[in-house]
Amino acid sequence: MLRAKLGALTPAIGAVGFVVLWWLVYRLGLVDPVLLPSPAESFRAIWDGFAGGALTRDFLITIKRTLAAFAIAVAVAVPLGILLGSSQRVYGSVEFVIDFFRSTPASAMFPLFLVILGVGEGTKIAVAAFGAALLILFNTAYGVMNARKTRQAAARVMGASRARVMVDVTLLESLPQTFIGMRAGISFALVIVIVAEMFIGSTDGLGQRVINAQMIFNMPEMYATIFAAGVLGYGLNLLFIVVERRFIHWGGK
Amino acid sequence: MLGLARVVLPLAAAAVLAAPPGATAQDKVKMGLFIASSAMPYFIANDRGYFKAENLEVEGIPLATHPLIVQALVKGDIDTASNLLSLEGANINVLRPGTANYFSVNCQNTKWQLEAFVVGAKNDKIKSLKDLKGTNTRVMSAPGPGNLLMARGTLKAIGLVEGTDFTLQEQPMPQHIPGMQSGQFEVAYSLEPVVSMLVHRGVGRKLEAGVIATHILGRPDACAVLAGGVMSDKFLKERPQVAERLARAWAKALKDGNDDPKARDLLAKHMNTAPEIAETVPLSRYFMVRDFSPAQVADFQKLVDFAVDGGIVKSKIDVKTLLKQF
Repeated sequence: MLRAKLGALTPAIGAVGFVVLWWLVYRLGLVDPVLLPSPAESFRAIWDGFAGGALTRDFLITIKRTLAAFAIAVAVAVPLGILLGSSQRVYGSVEFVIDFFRSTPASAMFPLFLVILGVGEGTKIAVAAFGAALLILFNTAYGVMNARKTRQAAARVMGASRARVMVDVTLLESLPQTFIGMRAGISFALVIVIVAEMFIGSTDGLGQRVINAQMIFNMPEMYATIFAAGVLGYGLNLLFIVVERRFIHWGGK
Repeated sequence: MLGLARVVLPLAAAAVLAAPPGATAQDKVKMGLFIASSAMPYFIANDRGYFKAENLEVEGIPLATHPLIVQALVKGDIDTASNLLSLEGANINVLRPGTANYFSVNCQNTKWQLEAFVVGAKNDKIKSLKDLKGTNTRVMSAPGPGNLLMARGTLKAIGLVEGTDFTLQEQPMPQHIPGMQSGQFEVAYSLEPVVSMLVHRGVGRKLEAGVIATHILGRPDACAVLAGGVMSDKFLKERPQVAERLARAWAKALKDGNDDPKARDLLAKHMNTAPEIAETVPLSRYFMVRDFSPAQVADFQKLVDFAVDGGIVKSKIDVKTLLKQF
């Protein structure tokens, strides 16, 4: 019983250890306190930010942008990934383009997206959607290509049509890999949205809050915002793990 | 054995005495650089051997943002910086007095123009900033809270109201030309050399330059100190003589930057300025703090007070505590 209770606390060990290490660095004066505030000051800034509403507003705007980018990425990349993955030859013809853009930092594409879409909301969402879509596309296509041949063959032997094999066997087989892509994609979308908010003309969002706090040396607020961004990323990741366990229970079996 | 020592020791002593002064090791100094025209004194001093003449080896370390320069000063990674924003310096000195000591300052106003409002070249309706009244024009600003404060402060001083006469959005500097060219923004609060590029390419025309001096400090010839050369308190305390020699070399570089047009050749070479505008791009005026007049100090104080009221600098600070005279 006690063992089970202690087991539930395992994920907290790393977090507590991190805060203790931070506090020690601060307490021992290893870094100038102007550059690294105490954990208490930063947590107070988080509390004030959420209580006052300013941090909440930026937090929600970043979530909205991230989810919009992710939704676009899923809508484009999943069907396209299935299509490309269903034929190795077709995938082979576009593999270079996918891998080329996958290896290019999405933030380096800001100028191109700014030229095409102009400034404003669209660019931030589009560039994040672009980066996330490549990850999802790549994983979905590989999920389809690597679907177990024995199960596909068994379905065909039982008289299933090509379309039925695709829907009932291949797609279900590919879902675990697609979900891995989606989980990576949403984290990536969040990162790109925050970077875009920092550097391509934003008046709100967590990224803009980080850069403004840094400019005026409000370090507790800067770390509070970074912490909020980290919590958001962790939360989105956790959400995907829960969904994956609940709905894709056949993964790896 | 003793005989050998009698021969070697006098020879060694003679060799030390006869060595030329240049043979002694140069004092190493690390200088943070924000790559912009305001970093010109470093490149002049380096190129023309002014540091070497003072027996200094100054290593220029480019840093992408001003907060990184401050961070490096606090940590002791750099001893000095060629051009740190004055509001960044004021802010860190409020939090940690003595961090940034300005030994030179850059003045900008209607004569030494660094900031300007620009309007799209095709727009013939807006001839002055006052013409924005009632138009709700989309204005883009140079990025960062400081620039936004100056742009907003200028427009408000003219009597314009945000949301009715204009909307303001910050944009990274490389976005100013495409932003205006594509018509997404009709007016820009921009900085040199982008202002000159906008005009040179026929994308925009200057509406008004030196707006900080005119509208925020209240006189077209006021000295708006937006940047300057700084030394860290640690450097000043631990190596005061090296700091003094650095200041001597710096003063020569400032003089050249102000008076010698040939120094502009360095703009295209080192400071991301397009060669076609290097000869004409307006520059700020460099002053050693010792040459700074009481009226100019008062202008500097007014600017910092304005930033305090605008929430950019945390609390009131006497600018004299930021200045170090050599």
